Amino acid sequence: MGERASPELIDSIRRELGLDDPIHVRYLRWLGRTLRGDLGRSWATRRPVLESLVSRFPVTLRLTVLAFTLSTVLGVAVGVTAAVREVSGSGYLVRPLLLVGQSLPVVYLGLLLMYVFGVWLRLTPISGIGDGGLRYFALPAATLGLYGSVYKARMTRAAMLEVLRQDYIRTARAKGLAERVVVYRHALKNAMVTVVTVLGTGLSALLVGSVLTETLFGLPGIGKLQVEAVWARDYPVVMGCLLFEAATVSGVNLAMDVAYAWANPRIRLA
Amino acid sequence: MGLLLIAGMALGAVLAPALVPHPPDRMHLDRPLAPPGPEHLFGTDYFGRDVLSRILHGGRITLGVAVGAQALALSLGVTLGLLAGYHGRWVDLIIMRVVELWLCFPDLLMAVGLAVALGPGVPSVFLALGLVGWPGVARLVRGEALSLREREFLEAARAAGVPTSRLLRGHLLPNCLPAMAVAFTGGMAACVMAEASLSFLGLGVQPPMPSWGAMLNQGRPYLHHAPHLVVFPGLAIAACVLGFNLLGDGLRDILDPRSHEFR
Repeated sequence: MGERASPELIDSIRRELGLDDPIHVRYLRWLGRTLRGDLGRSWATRRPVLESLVSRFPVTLRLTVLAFTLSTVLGVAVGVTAAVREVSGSGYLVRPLLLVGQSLPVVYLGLLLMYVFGVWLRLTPISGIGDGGLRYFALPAATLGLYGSVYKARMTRAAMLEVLRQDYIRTARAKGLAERVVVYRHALKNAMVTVVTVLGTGLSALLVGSVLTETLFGLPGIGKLQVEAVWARDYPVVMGCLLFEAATVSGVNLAMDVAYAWANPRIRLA
Repeated sequence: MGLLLIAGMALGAVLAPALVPHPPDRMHLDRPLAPPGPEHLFGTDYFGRDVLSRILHGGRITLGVAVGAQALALSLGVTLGLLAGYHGRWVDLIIMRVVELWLCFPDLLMAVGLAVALGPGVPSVFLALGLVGWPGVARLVRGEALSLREREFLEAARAAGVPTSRLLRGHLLPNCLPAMAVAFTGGMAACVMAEASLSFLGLGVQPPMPSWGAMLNQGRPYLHHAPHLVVFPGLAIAACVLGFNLLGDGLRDILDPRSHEFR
């Protein structure tokens, strides 16, 4: 339909798309379709939105899983070290470092890594997905993982500090257990109960970060799809992406709550 | 420490027109992508615009947007939070369900959605960030209000016949101020970050207006030859966010001694 479309044609298309109906009718129709798994078609490519989402999903999944693993391992390790050091009085550098880390925008972190490893050392590709090999995920996953690890490190550190002050830790030490056993077997296990609850929140942050990271590194995932759709004013696709993200976050939070109740019987009554 | 950083930033932003060596939009087409040097302390971009000048002017926009958005988020959040916490029952139920629904969407993605709906530009960034920020504030203030509701001084005020509206404004609100101050600094840090992210995605402040996030995006293609194009704006964002984070930490230490051990 060009600029010179006749009013009749415009009318007939409006009627066909159901744009004549009042807003609540349109909303209910949208809701009904969405519940049946029909997210509509892209205005730009005419492809069903669900199909685009499904085709982009593996990239985002891969990026997020890599980043999630990295951020959890790194975050917990740094958090534990920070707490243990702090108790022994040699950890005064860790808190400022974490604060600085928390203040770095994920995009900036990505650009810095890009410069050091891509431009300077020429170790990794800078952007794009190429043949889809793991090399192309190295920098994006590192960026997102580092970004996510700061929050987890902070939480782990706080939880560990709390646990290390408990009486049973003193008991364990008094029994003459090795410090390593006390820290990892006794303290970390209990601190993880707190840390696990924030993993869900962390995932929501990772999802946000993945939009930025995918755009920065030119990875064709859902985040990039969303940004491109925003640029093209392709509303069905934008809605589809937002819906996907909200559903993921809610789903993960629910799963976390269930897992938490299962792992920690104390919470079940509350 | 945080206060110093923020004060410096704010001063730089306010005095930007007087401080900057070059107008932020002035193009020196004869020296594009100049490295940092005595004439251009932070170098120039592709159009030969002075990076330092653009950073200082970008700070005006970023901080302005952040303050505006926080004002919106706080006024909405505090009002609804106080109502929910004080009235309880169905008022609380309705407001908190809305808050929870709102929080389902990751914040930046919500802001992206709102910015799209409102169209790009400074006013919509400010609106989007304000609308994203209020549920967190509401939840915090509700908690404070809940814990204060049954305290004696409020009961005394109620018994003395103080009308509810004055009770909320005159008695409840001032006691929530410490929590609000902490929420404000945290919110500012989040806003600065979010504005940079939105502008990086091209959904926030539009060119040719200077913005830190947009500068990161525009500098990306020149990473090979002119890394200063992204290094300095990124530092500006990081310093600003760090300042607010430090300030927030400091405020919390002063206002809430209990949390001292537990950060």
